[in-house]
Amino acid sequence: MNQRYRYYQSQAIVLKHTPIGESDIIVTFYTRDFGKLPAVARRARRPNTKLSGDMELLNHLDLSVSRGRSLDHVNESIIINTFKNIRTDLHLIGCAMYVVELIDIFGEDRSANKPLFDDFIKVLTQINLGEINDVFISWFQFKVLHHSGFIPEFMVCIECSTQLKQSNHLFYIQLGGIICQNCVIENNDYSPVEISIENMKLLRFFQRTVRQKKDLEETDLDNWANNEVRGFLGNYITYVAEKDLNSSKFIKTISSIE
Amino acid sequence: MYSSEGTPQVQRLVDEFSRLPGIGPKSAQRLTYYLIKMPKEQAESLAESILSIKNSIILCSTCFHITNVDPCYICNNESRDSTQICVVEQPLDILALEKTGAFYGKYHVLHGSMSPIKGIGPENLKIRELLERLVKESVEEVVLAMNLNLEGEATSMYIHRLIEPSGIKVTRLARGLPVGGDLEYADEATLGRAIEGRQGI
Repeated sequence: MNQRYRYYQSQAIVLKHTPIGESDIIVTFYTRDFGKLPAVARRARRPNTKLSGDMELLNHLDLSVSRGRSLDHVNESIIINTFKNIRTDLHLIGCAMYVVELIDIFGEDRSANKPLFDDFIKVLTQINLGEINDVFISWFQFKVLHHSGFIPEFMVCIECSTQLKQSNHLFYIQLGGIICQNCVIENNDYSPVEISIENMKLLRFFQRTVRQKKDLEETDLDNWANNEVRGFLGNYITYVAEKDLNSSKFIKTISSIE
Repeated sequence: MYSSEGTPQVQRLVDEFSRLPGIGPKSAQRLTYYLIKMPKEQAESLAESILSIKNSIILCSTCFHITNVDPCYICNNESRDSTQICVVEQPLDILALEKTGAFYGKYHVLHGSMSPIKGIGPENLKIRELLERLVKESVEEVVLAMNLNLEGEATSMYIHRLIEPSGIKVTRLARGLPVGGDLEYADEATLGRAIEGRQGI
C-alpha cells in the first residue's frame, strides 16, 4: 500500500463486523489489492445511512477507504454483488459462512493475494447459484491451503520423495503429507489417518488442477461425488488453524433440522 | 497522557470504564477525572443506581425481557393480545417497538442472533424456551422482528423451520426504505428489497 495516498480503493468482500461506539462498526474486508483489511464504517448501524446496507456480510463491493490515525475509515462503497440467493437459504448461508471463515483465518492482514480473492469470488458465485456440493467445498479448502502455503502432499512420500503407488495410504496431519510403507514412522505422537484409493485419487486430482492453475469442470463435480475428502481436509485445516471452525458447528446444527 | 501511577484507585476505575462498550482508554480517563471532581452525593447516587440495577433487575421467566418483577409488566398485562408473540434479539428492541404503538401482542427476547462465524448457535439463545412457550400458550402468530442482516435472517429462517410443522402462522417485519429517506441515497440491497416488497395503493 502506497503510504503517500490519503485514499485508496479496491474490490472487497465483507467478512465480519464488530460494533463500536453509538452506531459505528469495524468491518473486516477481504480486499483484492490489500488482503484482509479492517476499517471503521461510521453510522453504519443506523437504518437510514447508505453504508448500513453496503456493509452487510458477504457483499462484494467497490470500496474506497481513507487513511485514519489508528484504523482506516470507509469513505464510499458501491455494491457489485449482494449474493442475494445465499441470504434466502439456511444451507447456503452455512456454506458461505464456512468459506468466509476460511478466508478470515488464512487471509493475511494487509497483504494482497489476488488469486485467493478471485477464487473466493468464484466459490461465492457458485454457492449463490445453489450449485454446491462437498466436492466444490473441498476443492476450495484445497485452494485456500495452496494459496496460503499449507498445501499437503499427496503425490510423493514426504520422507523419501518416491512416487506413491496406487493403494490406501497413511496421511500424517502433523507432517502435512503421506509417508510410504518403507519409511513408516513408529511414533505415538503422530496419529495418521488412512486415506482410501478413491479419496487419494480426488486429492491427487486437486493437487494436479491447483498446480496447473485449472478450474473444476461441471463434470468433475459429478464424477467425484460421495467422497470423504471434505471432512478429511476439514480436520487438516483445524490442525493448521489451531482451532475448530465455528461455521462447521453451524452447518451440523442446520443439517440436524433438515 | 496523564499517568495515574501511585493512585491505584484511579487506575482501577479507568480500567473498569475501559471495559464498557464504546469506551476507549482516553474516554475512560476523561470519565474518571470527571467523577473525581463530581460532588460526593452525585457519585454516591451513581454508585447506588449501578448496584440497584445489578441487585434488582432480573430477566422475566416468560419472555426474558429485563424487569424488576417476574413476570414482567408486558407478560402481566391481561389486555395485551397473547395470541401474538413478537420475537426480538435484544430487550432494547422491545422499547423501540413499544414506541411505535403498533404492536399489542407479547414479546420473546432471544438475547442475540445466530452467528456462524462467532460460534453463536441456537443453544446460546432462548429458542428452546420460545418453542416451549408455543406449546404451553395458545399462540396463533409469531412475528419475527430480527435485525435485517445475515445473522438476523439466518435466525429467522431457523426459527421458521422449527415452528412451521406446528401450523402456527410465522410472519416477519417488512423490509425496504426508511421513512424520510431519499431514494437516490438508498443502497442497492435496500432498494431491491423495497421493489420486491412493493404494495398496491
